[in-house]
Amino acid sequence: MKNRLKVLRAERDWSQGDLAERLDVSRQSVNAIETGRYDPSLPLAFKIAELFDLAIEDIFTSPSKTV
Amino acid sequence: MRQANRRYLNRFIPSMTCYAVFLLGSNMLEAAYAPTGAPLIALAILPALPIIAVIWAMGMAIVEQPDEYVRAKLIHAMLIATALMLSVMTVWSFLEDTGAVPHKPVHLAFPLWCAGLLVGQVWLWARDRIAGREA
Repeated sequence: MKNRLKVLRAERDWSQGDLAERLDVSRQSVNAIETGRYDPSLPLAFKIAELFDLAIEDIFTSPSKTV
Repeated sequence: MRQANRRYLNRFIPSMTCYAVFLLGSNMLEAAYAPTGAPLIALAILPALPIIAVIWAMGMAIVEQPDEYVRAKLIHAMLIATALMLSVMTVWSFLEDTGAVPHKPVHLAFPLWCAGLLVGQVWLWARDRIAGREA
């Protein structure tokens, strides 16, 4: 699933490790989500959205809208 | 995540130690006393119990893994291991039917599955490394 995680992270000057620490997940999880190899669960997606103070759809692009 | 790994090792290492002790002990007792009936069955089953404990520890490693991506990757690696083991056993069975190979050593199924798990984990690790470099 496409997302703006890398951009949002860069805006805050956070490394993948910094974001992983804030989300309480591994750095490889952040990398996999950023590169679209892994779609986070709904609870993790909410956690990400709350961290950036945005709505989920402001971070993740619905697969039906990318076609 | 580290706690989950530590818990896994705390279960895995004693189980494998028990396996080595039970296997050696069971073989020695069988050779020394040539038991029959129930004692023989008990001795034969004894080394299998720690292996079952290892299988349980592997299951718990998934259940207790707090990182959902790591958990998904572990399950993926286990599916690769299962597919490899079933494939090898299926091919072996057909070869066995023709008499080209001896009867398959069924007790090697779990070690074979573990080897498949290693292959799966290396494969997924390499995939992540390549994808991480491209990102």
